[in-house]
Amino acid sequence: MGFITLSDVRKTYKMGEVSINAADGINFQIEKGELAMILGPSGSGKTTVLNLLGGIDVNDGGSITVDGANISEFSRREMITYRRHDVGFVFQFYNLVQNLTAKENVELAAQTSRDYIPADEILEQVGLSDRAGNFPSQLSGGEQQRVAIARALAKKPKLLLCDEPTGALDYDTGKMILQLLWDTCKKAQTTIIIVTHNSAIAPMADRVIKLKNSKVSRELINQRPTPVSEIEW
Amino acid sequence: MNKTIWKNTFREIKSSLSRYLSIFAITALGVGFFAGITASPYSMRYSADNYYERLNLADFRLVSIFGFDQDDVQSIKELNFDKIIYPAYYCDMFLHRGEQEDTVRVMSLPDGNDFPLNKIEIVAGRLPENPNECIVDMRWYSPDRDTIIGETITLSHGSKDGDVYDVLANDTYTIVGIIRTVLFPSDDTRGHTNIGAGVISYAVFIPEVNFTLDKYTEIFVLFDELREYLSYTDDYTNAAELIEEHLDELGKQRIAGHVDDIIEEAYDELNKAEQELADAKKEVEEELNDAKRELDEGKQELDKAKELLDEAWIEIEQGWEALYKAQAEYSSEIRNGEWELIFNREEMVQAELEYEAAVMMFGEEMLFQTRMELDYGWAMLLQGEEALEAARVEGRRELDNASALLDEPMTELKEGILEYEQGLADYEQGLLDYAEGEREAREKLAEADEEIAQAHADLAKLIDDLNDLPGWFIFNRDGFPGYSEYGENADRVASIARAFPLFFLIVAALVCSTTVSRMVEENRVQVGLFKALGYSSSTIIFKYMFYAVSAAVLGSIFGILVGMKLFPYVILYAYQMMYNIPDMLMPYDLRLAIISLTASGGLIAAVVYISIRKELSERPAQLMRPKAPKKGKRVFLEKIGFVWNRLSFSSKVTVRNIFRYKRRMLMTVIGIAGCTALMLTGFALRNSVGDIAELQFKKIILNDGWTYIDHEMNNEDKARLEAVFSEYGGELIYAMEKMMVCEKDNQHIKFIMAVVKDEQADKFGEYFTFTNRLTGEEYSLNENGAIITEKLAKLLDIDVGGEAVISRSETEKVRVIIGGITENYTMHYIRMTESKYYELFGEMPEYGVAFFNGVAVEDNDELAARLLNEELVFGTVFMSDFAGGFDDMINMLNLVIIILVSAAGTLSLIVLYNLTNINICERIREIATLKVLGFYDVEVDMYIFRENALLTLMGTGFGLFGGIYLSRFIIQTAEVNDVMFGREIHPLSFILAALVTIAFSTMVSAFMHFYLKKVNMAESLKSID
Repeated sequence: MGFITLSDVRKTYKMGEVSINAADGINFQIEKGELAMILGPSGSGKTTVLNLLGGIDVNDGGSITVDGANISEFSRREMITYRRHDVGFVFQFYNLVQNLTAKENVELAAQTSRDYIPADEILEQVGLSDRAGNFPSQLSGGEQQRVAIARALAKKPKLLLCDEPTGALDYDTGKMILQLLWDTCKKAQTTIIIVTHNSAIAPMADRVIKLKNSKVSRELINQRPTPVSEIEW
Repeated sequence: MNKTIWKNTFREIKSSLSRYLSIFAITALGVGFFAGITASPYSMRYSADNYYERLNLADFRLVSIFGFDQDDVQSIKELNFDKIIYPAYYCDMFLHRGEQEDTVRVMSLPDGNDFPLNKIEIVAGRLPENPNECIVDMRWYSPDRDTIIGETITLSHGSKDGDVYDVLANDTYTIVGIIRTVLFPSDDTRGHTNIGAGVISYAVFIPEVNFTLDKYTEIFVLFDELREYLSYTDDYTNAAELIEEHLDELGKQRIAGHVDDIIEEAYDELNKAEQELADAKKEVEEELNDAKRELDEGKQELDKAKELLDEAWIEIEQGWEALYKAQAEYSSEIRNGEWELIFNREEMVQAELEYEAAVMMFGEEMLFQTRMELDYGWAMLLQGEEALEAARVEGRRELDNASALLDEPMTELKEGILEYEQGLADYEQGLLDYAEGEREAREKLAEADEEIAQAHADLAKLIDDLNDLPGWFIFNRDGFPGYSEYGENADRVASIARAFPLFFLIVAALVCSTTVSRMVEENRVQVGLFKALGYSSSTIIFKYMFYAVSAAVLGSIFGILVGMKLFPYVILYAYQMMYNIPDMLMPYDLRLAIISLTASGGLIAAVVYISIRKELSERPAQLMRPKAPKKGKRVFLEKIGFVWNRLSFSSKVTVRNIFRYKRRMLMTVIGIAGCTALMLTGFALRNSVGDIAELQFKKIILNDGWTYIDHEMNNEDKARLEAVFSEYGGELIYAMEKMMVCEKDNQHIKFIMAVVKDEQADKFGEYFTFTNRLTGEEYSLNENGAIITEKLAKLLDIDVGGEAVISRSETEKVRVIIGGITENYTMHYIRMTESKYYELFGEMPEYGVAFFNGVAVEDNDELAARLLNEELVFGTVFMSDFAGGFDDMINMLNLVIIILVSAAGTLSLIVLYNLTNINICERIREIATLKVLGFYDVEVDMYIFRENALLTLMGTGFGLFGGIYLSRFIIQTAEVNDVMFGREIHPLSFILAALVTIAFSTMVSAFMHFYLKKVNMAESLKSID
């Protein structure tokens, strides 16, 4: 059993009369402290996996174990608690609360945690100390994403889930964010899962899981991940 | 408009059905409320009119002091209008039913129970079939309604010395049915009377044959021409006025005819009396003359007798004189004779002696001769003596005889004199008696003269009065008991309808506009797409127009269909508690429906246009890009460090969010404030109306009631009246209360001119409160002069020191300087002292009212009945009876207010729901993000609802504040002219309005909780669209 284990995970969405199998018996494991990457084209089921892992959705079949707990059996409230304390989420579109400053966005997450990194400290870690008082609209995309990462990290999650973190960013900024994630993974020993369709960034991951047609098509362990600075796309 | 646009439009509706429905619901509610409440007064009038027409309610009721004969009826028939005439009998009497005595109006049932007018409807039992059966018009709520049928009742005459058989052939009847008559639409009043306590409890109908009167006592007339007009409308009133003029004219003629007869009769009588008096005078004169003549004759006789007596007296005197003379002669003759005899005797004696001597000397023979001579001498002497004696006796006898002869006439004379003296005395007495008699007779005649003069004066006054007779008393429907009150109630509903729902409509429109603009915002990508595909702006606009306008129009139609039935129904139902109008008709008011539809459709179209115009002006590319989320901004509060720093993190978020969506914040606050204000107004309206009775009867009117008296009451009558009151521990103030009219911009406002004597003016302050409501200043009639009531001052738009113009006639105006404005709630008054009144009007007031105070009486009717026994007392009104009437009105308003409050509540519910919904929709990503961040349900709820709570509180606060003004406005609008509603809003009303708003807000939050719980977190992952 790994830190994260998915075994025969199934998920079916009913859209009217049509059923879509978004996860059709998915199996994989991720070890603690790994930077894992889930790759796949649109509709391959990667977002479903992310949702299930993040406690946003519940699987219909199979089990998902995170740090020993079977989250697929969690009650609604346990699920919220799981999200609250164990999972950090980084969205493609940052999802910052527009009405809160960078610091406040971090605090928004931090204030819910039992154990958290002070907002100033975490913002310094992502290199945004000087923009702490700015509103999202006053920040560039990369800065916003860094705030989002800071927000996710502030509550010291067991697991950091990133949904296309570079999707809305330009090349340089994207790289910078990836670097930040990599650093975080390595320095804070945080397990990070990046979901992306951009296979070019896969080499930086410790583990790459490819999805296709709602199934794991390939899973490989990268013994020597390529540093972010060397990745190009 | 191609097929795709239509398809797209219908899909849009289908996919956002909740939004479509919310526009539908808001317009339905707003328009329904507006149309419903506005249609309500029409429904009230329409229903009443239908009822009146169905049962042929008369347009006029005629009453004449002379009653009506067939000629009168005929004269009405001849009037140049199509009409139905129903002459009838009535008499106000006491009805005895077991122990109970009621004051009732006994009315005639036409033959065959076939009412040509004022038809009746049987509520229970049946119609009379025998002359000794009757039916009663009992009030609906009468507790013994069920047992009353079959009871036997006795009628007695209203006045003490009146006899029921003067009016009716029979005084005992059996109740066979309970009916409802269109004549008394109100449950509350059957009118007034001058018997008993002055108030008619109900009407009793008995078969016409029982009435023994030779003239009809009332005539009802219905004019076909008036049927086409709706009751209570100006059209009806105006048309009725025209006809009333004709009736009035006719009445004057008819009365003038009767008056001529009466005057002629009176003149005849007077002339006869005068003739009688003249005859009496002549007779008296004659009698007096006779008496005088008799006296004079007696006097003459007396005088004659006196003469005779005097003559007789002289004769007797003479007789006596002769007698005395004779006596004297006799006495002297006798004495002379005696003297002679004595001489002769002495001579004889001498001669004897000489003879003796001579005998001695000459012897006897020689002396014989001598002897012889001597003897002869003696003989002669003796003879002389005898003769004298005889003469003496004879003389005495003769004298005595003469004396005796005189004595008789003397006695007679004496008697005559006595008699004469008696006669004289009698005569003098007679003279005195005569004088006395004459004086008396003259006095009597003078009295008679005076009486005749008085009769003349009385007749002149009668003629005057009769000529002053206004003709028939013509009561139009407003004079029917309870009729006009219903109309006033409809007016009241109408005035509430004027302001209340309009506000409602505005709030609904605001909410709609938010919804629509939100929709347009959400659809901007699609708008861009259509634009990019080359659809014209008008096509795009059409889609949204169609969406919103169809929702609004459908909503309006629904609202109209339901509202125009529901609200009138509830209001009619409410008024049925007090009025016996069974018809409940809620016709659709097409004009109002069209107005409402056009207004709501137009309004929403305008909103759509304004919302979409901005979007359409942008280029498609811009539109298809997601609109940048609203920027975060620091709010001014952050600059106030000591406040901001003290706020918790979540409070800061709330404050920022509120200011972030200013428009929505504004809408929410306005919406909630509007609803709170509406609710506060509802409660305040109830306060105000509820307070009228409380204020007017407890705070303003401090007396126990009043009695109508004849203003010609003299001091004795007054003393008696006062005695009655002091028996009950009360006291009186006499006052004049006279209906007058004052003018303002050609408008005539009726008011009551109240006047008291100067010396009682201060005391009057214990009977009525004279205090300015706003300044608290207390007035006195003596010091301040004329005091006007608040509402009248407001209607006339005058202040203290201003002038009220009282019009006494077309040309004569009296200007009164106002010395004070006093708090008052029902009716208008101008009050002043007698001297002031005299100064202004140049006449003394006629005191026809006596206010009383301090009366301790358990049964008002008892005192009222006692007072009515006093001849010059017309009726008594007790304050305690008055206050009750208002309770019904308040109960009714309660229902109206419940409608208002619940509608306002529903609106606030929809407003809050809608706005919260929009709030959530707009921030769905944010909420989803929060959920992904692991916020518990409560935390998510609070994140949103803290704003709602704050906005609700703000809205409630503004609403309460604005509600003060709104209610002030509504209350003034809803007021009828004669009444001032209370102006105070009770603290409880504020609390209730706030609590209800907060409760509704909480309900919305509770509802939204489930909605929030369902928000899909996956939303947070989606791209911004």
